[in-house]
Amino acid sequence: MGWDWSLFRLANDLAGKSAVLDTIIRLFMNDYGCTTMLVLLVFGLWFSGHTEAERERNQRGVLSTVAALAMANLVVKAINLVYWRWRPFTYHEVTLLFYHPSDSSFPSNAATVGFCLAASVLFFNRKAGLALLVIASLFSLSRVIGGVHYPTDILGGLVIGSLAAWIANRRAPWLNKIWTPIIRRMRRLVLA
Amino acid sequence: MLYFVSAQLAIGYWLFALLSAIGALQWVAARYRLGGLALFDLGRHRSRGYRLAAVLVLGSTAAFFASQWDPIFAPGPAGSELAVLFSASALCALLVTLLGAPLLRSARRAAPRAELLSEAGPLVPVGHAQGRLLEPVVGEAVAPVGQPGPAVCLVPGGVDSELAMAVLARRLTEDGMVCLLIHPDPSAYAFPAALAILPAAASLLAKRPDVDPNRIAAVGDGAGGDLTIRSASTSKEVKTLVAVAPILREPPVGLGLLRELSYSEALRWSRDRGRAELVGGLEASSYSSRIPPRPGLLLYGSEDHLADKAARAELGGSLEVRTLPGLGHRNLAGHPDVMKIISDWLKEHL
Repeated sequence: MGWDWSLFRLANDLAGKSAVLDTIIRLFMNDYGCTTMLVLLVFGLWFSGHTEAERERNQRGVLSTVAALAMANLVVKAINLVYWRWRPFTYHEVTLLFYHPSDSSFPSNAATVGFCLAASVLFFNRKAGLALLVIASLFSLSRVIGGVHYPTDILGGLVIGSLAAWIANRRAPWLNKIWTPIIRRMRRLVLA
Repeated sequence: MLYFVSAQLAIGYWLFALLSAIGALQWVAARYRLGGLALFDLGRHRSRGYRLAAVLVLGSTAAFFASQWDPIFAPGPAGSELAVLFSASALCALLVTLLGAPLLRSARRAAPRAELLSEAGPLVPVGHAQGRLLEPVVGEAVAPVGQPGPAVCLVPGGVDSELAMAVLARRLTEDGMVCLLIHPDPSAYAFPAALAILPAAASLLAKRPDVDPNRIAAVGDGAGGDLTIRSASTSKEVKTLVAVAPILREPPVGLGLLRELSYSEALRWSRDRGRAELVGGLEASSYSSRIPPRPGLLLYGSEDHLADKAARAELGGSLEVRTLPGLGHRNLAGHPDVMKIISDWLKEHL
């Protein structure tokens, strides 16, 4: 797709121009920083809430988020079995700020995880969801600038992650029946 | 099989995630006032929780990137390995926080010494229960020398409460009052048998030559406060009563308990069916309106999250309710300000 490549070039042209900018991009695009911050926010949400009702809403949301994440990862695995896309650096001259990932470029795992967490949390906690959305967006954008993903890989991850979040939070009421005994047991242990 | 690629990187990430998770818990503790998770003095320096959280999250991030910069940009653990490492870190962070918070709290605040009870004297039978008699300090008597004086029956809510009440009892003996500190034995505190404790205590005190039977007061703490209110609704022996943080209605079991209690205390609280049944059976809030006209004082801390706030609004009768700013539920009876209020109240009304 022409526009996909044009957008990729536009973003990737930012890389390699300034050592400071490259370092900032690297800080966002690596496998550890943003993912940890994303998961850390969800972890904190489990304990958050001024009232019992607010806390329970958050805890149900966190459990649905975990379910959405599992669902999104399964979809990515399934797509990887039937469709393979080479990374941008495989056949093109790109400025690479990262090591050579060996898995399929589409869909972006990073975007899938990031947008799945952000979208799922947006369903039950707007403030935290927006914070996650900012982190997920920076994480995904930095991956394009860094030369490891095409924009459509990110778009694919966004769609898969958001759909999984929507299904887990809005289209699977039976999940709540599973969460109820889990939360009840955790309450007995004073952990929910 | 899990493959972490580099042990150094895996350990570095585990430490980074551990410290960040502890930081996240400190932020939550400060934001939602969960003292059982706080590794700082939540009561006095809440803002330190936010600072501690920021230092832990930002500091561990900086340290991780500074120490592992090259391995971070080389092929490393995959998503499943990172998920395992983060889960292990989160679990350890929770353990460190739940175990560390009470240790730091006890280091900050000296709890009443357990020896106080043995110093108070041996247990004597009080009906089917037991208690300790504390003699008034000679020379400080409220009553003229040689005449019978006032007496107070102290009804604690549990083991911790017994220690706080022992401190209070010692203070009241210095005011010249004979004190009978009931021992909160679980078998004696069962409902409805517990209703016999206060009449038996009043009868025991009234028989003493140094006690004026018309100047007997009851002071209850926690579930003991509920028992005092309920007993006062039927007994005529008690001239005045003070209930310190009566529970009125059991709080729901869950994370909310960590606002007041440490994790181990919260676990014990949630498993204490005896107290829950006692408080439920006593129905102190509904019986408060049946107390015959007599001076009665209810004391609460503004940060009390164990005593039911909605049930407080249902309290009837002539009880005066005072809320002390900044104080919680635990050891309220042993707080110097509370002890002074109780002492002044008893001097005025006995």
